[in-house]
Amino acid sequence: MAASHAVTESADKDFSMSQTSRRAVSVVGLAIILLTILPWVTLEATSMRGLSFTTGILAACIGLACVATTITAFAFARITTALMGVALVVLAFVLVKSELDRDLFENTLPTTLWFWFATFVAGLVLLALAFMQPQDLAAPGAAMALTIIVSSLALWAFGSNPVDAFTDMVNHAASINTQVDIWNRATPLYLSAIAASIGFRMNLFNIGVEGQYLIAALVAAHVGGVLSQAPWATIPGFLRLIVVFLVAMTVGAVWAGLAGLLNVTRGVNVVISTIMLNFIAVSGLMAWGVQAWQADLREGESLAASNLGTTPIDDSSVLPHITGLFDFAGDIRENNPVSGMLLIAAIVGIGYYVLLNRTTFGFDLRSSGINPFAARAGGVPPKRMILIAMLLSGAIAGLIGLVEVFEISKFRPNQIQGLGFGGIAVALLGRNSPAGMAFAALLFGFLDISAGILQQTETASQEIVKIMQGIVLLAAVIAYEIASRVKTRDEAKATAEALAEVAV
Amino acid sequence: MTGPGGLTDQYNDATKKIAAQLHGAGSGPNGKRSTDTRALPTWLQWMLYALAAMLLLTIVQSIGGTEKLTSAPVSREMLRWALPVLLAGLGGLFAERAGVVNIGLEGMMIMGMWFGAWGALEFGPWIGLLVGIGGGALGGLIHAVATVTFSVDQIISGVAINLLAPAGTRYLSQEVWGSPSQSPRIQGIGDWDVPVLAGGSVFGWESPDVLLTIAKKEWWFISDVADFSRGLMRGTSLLALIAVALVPLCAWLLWRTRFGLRLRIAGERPQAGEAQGVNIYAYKYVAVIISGALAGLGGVVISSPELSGQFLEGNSGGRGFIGLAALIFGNWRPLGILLGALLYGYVFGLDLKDLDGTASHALLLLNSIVLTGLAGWAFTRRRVADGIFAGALAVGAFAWWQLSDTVPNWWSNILPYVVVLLVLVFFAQRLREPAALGTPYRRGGS
Repeated sequence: MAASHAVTESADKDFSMSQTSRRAVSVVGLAIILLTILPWVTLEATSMRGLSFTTGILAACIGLACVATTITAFAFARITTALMGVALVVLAFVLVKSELDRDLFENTLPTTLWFWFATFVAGLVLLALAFMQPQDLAAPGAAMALTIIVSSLALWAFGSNPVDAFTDMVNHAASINTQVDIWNRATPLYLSAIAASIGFRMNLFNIGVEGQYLIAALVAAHVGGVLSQAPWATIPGFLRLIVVFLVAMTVGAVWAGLAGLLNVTRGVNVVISTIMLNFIAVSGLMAWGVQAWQADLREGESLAASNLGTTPIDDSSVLPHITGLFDFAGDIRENNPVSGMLLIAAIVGIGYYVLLNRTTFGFDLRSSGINPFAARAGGVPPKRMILIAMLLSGAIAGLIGLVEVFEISKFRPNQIQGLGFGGIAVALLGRNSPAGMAFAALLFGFLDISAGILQQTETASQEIVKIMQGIVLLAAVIAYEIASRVKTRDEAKATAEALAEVAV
Repeated sequence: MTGPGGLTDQYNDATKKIAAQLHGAGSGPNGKRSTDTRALPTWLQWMLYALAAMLLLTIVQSIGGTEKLTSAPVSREMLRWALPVLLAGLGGLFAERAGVVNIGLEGMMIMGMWFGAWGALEFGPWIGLLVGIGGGALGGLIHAVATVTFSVDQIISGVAINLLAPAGTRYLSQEVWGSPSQSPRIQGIGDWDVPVLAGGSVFGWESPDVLLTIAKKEWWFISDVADFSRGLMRGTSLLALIAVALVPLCAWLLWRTRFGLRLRIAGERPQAGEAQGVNIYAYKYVAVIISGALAGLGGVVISSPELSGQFLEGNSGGRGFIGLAALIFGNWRPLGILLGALLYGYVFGLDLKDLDGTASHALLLLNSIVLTGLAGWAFTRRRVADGIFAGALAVGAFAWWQLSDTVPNWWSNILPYVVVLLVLVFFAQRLREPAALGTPYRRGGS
């Protein structure tokens, strides 16, 4: 007993920051962030910058939320709070950044703003240090570096200037409207990643997210369109909206559950059955549904692809957009709204975290993934776990396509495809952690959206962004593997040393 | 990847599995046990199976009022579309027999498509063939580095390759051909008519076309067989000959050579192999690279005039995945893979030659007959639930056939995948994957 205790302590000392220092650093980090936000809040609230009263109030609320985060972080020093802190920091960043944009436009950047910006970044770094260990950051960092090197080589080999290309991408992303695009692309990718990661957590590879989200979106859009017409149109809009959500989640769950059912009753491998179900969904059911549910063209509409699709859902049962939450400087274009699904995705992310880390079910799920035999011996029914995991995964997959459905009020035959496979990549890159996947989704969203600017400026082929996505994924999974090997080796060494000490 | 049996079965069948492994490891490529003494040689058995299948097709065709089921164009399409699936399946065979799940076959196939087309345009079709194989092998090498050297989860690495390959080839196409999705037309390595049987010429001598003569006689069944066979023998691409010749070659290599034995031990009991002094890493590397090379050859077939005649984005159409399904369908054996590929090719090819939908409609009757047979088989094995399920499907297919004149387009599109799913539903528990499939191997590990 004594020996094992010593071992644990020694390993703790060597490989992680102590709890006290972690708390201290997190408090300092959050305090700095707070200090950068509060003066700004005051400025805004006193309308020095001529912003509206509501904006001031909202900014003040953000400040207060930061205070709350600091206190909770102090009390628990847990990853949940870090997550909240990071989310708030990102939100604050968007606000400060839009401010910066505006001033850059007017070429009158106040030095104080730069100061806030710098301290804000410092706070962010401290926060990251408090909750992550250096080796946690080494692997993603190495993967990013490798990606930049390899894609630079690919660009250079065909006569493009990598520096120009990357500069274009970053400059493009600095505009608030591009950021809206990135969030809108990251939202479905994040949902898709969560859908995939529920399976991954118990070694269940749901490769079928692609098919699940496409037919779920198709059926939900169709139901929403039908409900928008007589005699259903008298039902209140929000009720119909809920029905659309339920339909999407049910269809996704059924399609994924089918693979789960085949696995538990017939022993069919989930990877193969989900791949087959993908084909059946996309080239069978979707092809059929798109034809069968094609809405009548309105007067004067041509047979162009943009006019095709299911019956439009009326505005009262479309999820409202949340542009207002971000648009402080009023420069987000009206035709470029922030999807309300962003909030849904955030809720799903938090729900995923709570479910996995704070409930018995989550414990059972993770233990089934780590050691199915031990879990079974511990009374976890493996078949039921597989079924529930697949149903949950499919239900969340059902939400992915709704982002686009709500954006254009219908399901088009050329609905964005590939989000299912993209989500798998995001889940792997984010290591199935809610925060990690959020960053990975933003990264993939950024790369996807950057394709447009490269095509415009012609500094490089836009295809390079897809290559970067592939390389960062492959490099990251290899880097994580190496990091975990190094960690295991070091721990083994430390344990051996500690045991030697005890023996003496 | 956990075994196909899920968690419970894995747990329950732990001992059974070892027993099955001992038997399975000794069995040949066709599942023939060494103690088994059958009167007929294997090839003759398969010929008889093929004739039985032809007889069934002819009967269905007579009832269904169509002539397409056994026509030469359909058999020709069958062979064409079976090729990429067959090659991907054989590629999967090498990797999975060495214990590495290769879901990246699709990506490797896409690399083969691009490099095959590029090589053919730059250096001519024969060199193009080699370049395409090399492109696929490069994909295999990436997979090997990730999974064998770094023990990355094999499915994850495969997914990454499937993301990387289409992106990479799109970029290369844009830079090389100025269009992200297609190349100029390319030349093939040529095709060949079988002399005497299908009227090919030998040293300038025009041989008679025996099968055509028989096919024209309109003898029931005999002419059908002749016509169907003729489709396989006339205008056959040299690529098809290579691909079909690879089936016995792979079987020989994997089951009759020392190399094959060691490769398979890497997929069954790597630690046992290690104890014997086999360099498991090297065998896994070679297996996965061969796997990529074969998938790459499948890609070459897709880009060759046999199928597309150019590199076209998206033309792989998931055939790498179908190859993987054929591999499982065929119970990780070469002849089974060939059978699965031909089945896929037949359904897919028939749909292409069947613009009015009558032949696909007749196929419903065939489905019904086969499912009835399946139900009967299940009942004799006392698998009542299976029997009822198959019987219900048979009745459903028959009712659909009776009540309709044609089948919708989307049904023919998904039929191959439905067939694979049904086969897995009924036979998943009879399949045996290599024992160490999907398990990362570390030297000196347990």
